[in-house]
Amino acid sequence: MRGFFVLLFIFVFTQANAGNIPAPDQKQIALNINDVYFKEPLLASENIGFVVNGMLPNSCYSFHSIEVKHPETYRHEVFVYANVKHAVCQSYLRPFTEEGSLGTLQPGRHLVMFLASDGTGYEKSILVQ
Amino acid sequence: MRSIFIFVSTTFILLSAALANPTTPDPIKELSVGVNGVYIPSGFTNKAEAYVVVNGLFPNSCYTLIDPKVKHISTFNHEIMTMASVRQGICLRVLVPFKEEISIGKLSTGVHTLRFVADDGTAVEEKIEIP
Repeated sequence: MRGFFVLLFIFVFTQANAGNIPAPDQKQIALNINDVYFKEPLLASENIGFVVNGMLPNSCYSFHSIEVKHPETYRHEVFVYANVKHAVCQSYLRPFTEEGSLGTLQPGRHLVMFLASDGTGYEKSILVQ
Repeated sequence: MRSIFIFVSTTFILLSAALANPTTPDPIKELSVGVNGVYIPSGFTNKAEAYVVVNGLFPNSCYTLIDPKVKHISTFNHEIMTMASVRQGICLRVLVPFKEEISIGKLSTGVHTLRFVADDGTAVEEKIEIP
C-alpha cells in the first residue's frame, strides 16, 4: 500500500513537471522582438496587456511562453521564449504575434525591457494613469 | 583648515563617483548566427577555391558581421559559422540584412555537405558537388 502511494506521488510529480522541462534535444531561447503594442488606456486599476511580434528564424523554432519579472516597482523585464530543436532546419522566417500581461501597475512612468538570450534588448517607456 | 577639509572631502567624493561609474563600453559577445539563404556558385573544380555566399537578417542594431569560421569535420563534411559580434545592451529595433562570401578552400572530388551552424543549436545543410 505504501509503495502504491510512493508510485502515485512520483507519477503525479512527473506529470506536473512534464510541461516545463524541454526535451533533451531542445532548449528554450528568449527571442528578439520586432515591435510591441500596449493596449490603451493604461490604467493603474486594470491589467496592463501588450502584444509583441517578431520573427522565428527557421523551422526549428516554436513559440513557448512569455515570462514577466518585476525587479523594481517601475522597471519590468519581459522574456519571450521559444522552444528550439537542435537539428537541421528549413531556413524561412515565420512571423509570430503573442499576447502578454504585466499585471496591475502603480501609476507613473514605467520602463519595460524586452530581453533576449543573446544579451540584447529593447526598452519601452509607458505611462500608467 | 576648514577649506582644506572641504577641498579634500569634495575631491574624494568626486573621485569615488567617477570610479563607481566608469565610462567603459558595453561588453561584446561573439556568436554564430543563422542564415536565411545560401548561394553556391557552380563550376568549381578540385583545383579551385570553393566559396559560398550566405545571406540573412540580424535581429537588431547591436549585431555586426565579423570573419566567419570554417571547420573541416571530415573530407566531405564541413561546418561553417557565420560570426557576428553582438554589443550587449539596449538596441534599435531594426532588422539588418547581411550578405557575406565565405571561402571554404579547395575541395576534393565528390559530394560535400556544408552545414551552416548557429549558436542556438540549429543548422541549415546544403550540398556541393565537385566534379
